[in-house]
Amino acid sequence: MKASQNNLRRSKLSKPYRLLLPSLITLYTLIGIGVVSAILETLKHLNTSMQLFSSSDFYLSLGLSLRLAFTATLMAVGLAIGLLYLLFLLTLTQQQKGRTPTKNTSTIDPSRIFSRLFQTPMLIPYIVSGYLVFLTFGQSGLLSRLSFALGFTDSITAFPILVNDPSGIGIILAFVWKTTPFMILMLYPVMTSLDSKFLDMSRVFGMKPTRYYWSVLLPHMASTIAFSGFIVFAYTLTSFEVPYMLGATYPKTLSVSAYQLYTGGSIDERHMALTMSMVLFFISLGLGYLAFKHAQSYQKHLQGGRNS
Amino acid sequence: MIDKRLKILLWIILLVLILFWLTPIITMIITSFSARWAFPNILPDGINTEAWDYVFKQNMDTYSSIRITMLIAFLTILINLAVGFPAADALGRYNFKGKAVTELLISMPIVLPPIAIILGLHRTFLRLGLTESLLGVVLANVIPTLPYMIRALSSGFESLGFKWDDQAKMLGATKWQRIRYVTFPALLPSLIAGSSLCILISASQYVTVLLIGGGLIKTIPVVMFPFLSGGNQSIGSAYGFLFSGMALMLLLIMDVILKRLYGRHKKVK
Repeated sequence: MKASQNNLRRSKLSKPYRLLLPSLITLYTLIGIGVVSAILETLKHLNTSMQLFSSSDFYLSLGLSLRLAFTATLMAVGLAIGLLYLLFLLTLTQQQKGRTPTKNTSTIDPSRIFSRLFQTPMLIPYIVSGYLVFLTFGQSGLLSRLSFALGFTDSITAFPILVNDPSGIGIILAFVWKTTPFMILMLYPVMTSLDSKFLDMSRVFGMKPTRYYWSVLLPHMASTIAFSGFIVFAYTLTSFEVPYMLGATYPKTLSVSAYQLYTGGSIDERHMALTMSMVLFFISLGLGYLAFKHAQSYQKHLQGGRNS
Repeated sequence: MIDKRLKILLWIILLVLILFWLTPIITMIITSFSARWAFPNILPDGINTEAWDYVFKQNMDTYSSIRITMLIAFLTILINLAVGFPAADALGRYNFKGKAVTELLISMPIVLPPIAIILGLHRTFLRLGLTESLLGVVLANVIPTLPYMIRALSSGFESLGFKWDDQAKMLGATKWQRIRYVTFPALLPSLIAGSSLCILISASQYVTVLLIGGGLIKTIPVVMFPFLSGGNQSIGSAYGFLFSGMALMLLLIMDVILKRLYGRHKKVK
């Protein structure tokens, strides 16, 4: 009896580690296979691999990837904050409405419905979202037709090239289209999680709702904004399908050049592609590490707040 | 006065929503049913189902690609559940040394882009004979999906805690009874969420399947991509609509099935 109890306790101590093992082994065997093989290949052909870092195309691709991801993230964060502001005002007017004597409990919160509607693009796969941008913003797309009908442009080619353009506007549009709903999905629950007592209190002190949003709700969401913005940045920086579909032939983003070098045929290019994929790997690793560190310190901050 | 403000707000939001987010989707749906849509016309020149005929009657790859995509997603979920279920328990209900690091390790693949790992993985899979095989694609799909499964399940475990388990144990329930009547029902919502995410992510992998599958494993994205990048617009739209609709349908079906199971379970109780 005593022995079995001892066993139980010991197994309890190591139990979480045992439970974690299958997942960690599976994940890191697979990732390790990919990474180690690419690193070995790079080291084996160090000379050709290092040519990558002396080619101007590499830096051009890196610059393009960074610029696209940065612009898209900034726009997505800005749009999300703006839309959430509108949703907040909507909740507010709804609440005021609810305070009138006729308390109708069956009324549906329109702000919740809208936040759901904004999330529908999340169900559209990335590839399709790229195609949607092509259909809408391409030279033969809907916007171009509208501008022709309204007399802004007089031919198909008069409409600015927004898709497959060297500056990557189409790619940015697709990223923003797809990631803003993600930002709203992440932020809406955080925004509504703040106790309405704070709103009442702010009213007592004569704070206007707009001021409440910017100086109470926004700081409350700041950490989540930073976190999800980071995720968006890391994702768009290395995303493949959208730039592959909507990018110009030159310059190409890092991910697209890596793929095209790898499948291009020449062995030297293959080695450079593997090296490039390692660059992508370490960039995302670094960004990911920062994002999760941030998230964890935020959780600790929350727990600390609860304890005190 | 409040009503007026509400209305204006509603309209602003609706307008933004419709203009930027819904117009492209509607355009795609209309394009898929349009016969020809010459440039300056705001509306299609005619409505027909030629593109859909092509997708379902002429292109034999469509049905097989749907089957193979679902099979890959299903197998990926099975592997994820098998290895991820215990890990989710550990992260959700236990406190242990190195938990923060472990969470980091489990979540890391979320930010790892397929292209960063897949080239190296392809080289090794080539040697192991795993390219052009279903197993190879499924294994590659585990990397981006497993973290989501674990995170979804662990939040379920976290809110479940040990108290119900302990109570059932006290009432004399066996381990399997506890899993069947305590853990499983409590984790059902997390299971739905996790599996749905796995399906969505696994089904939308493109470059992974293209490389590891070597063009032989034709999932929906692989079959439809040529039409999306410069092919016939009606057919491209039909595929895009079909693919998005399937993603939505799969989620709905899964939701309904699991909820029905859950309801029956409740009635028995």
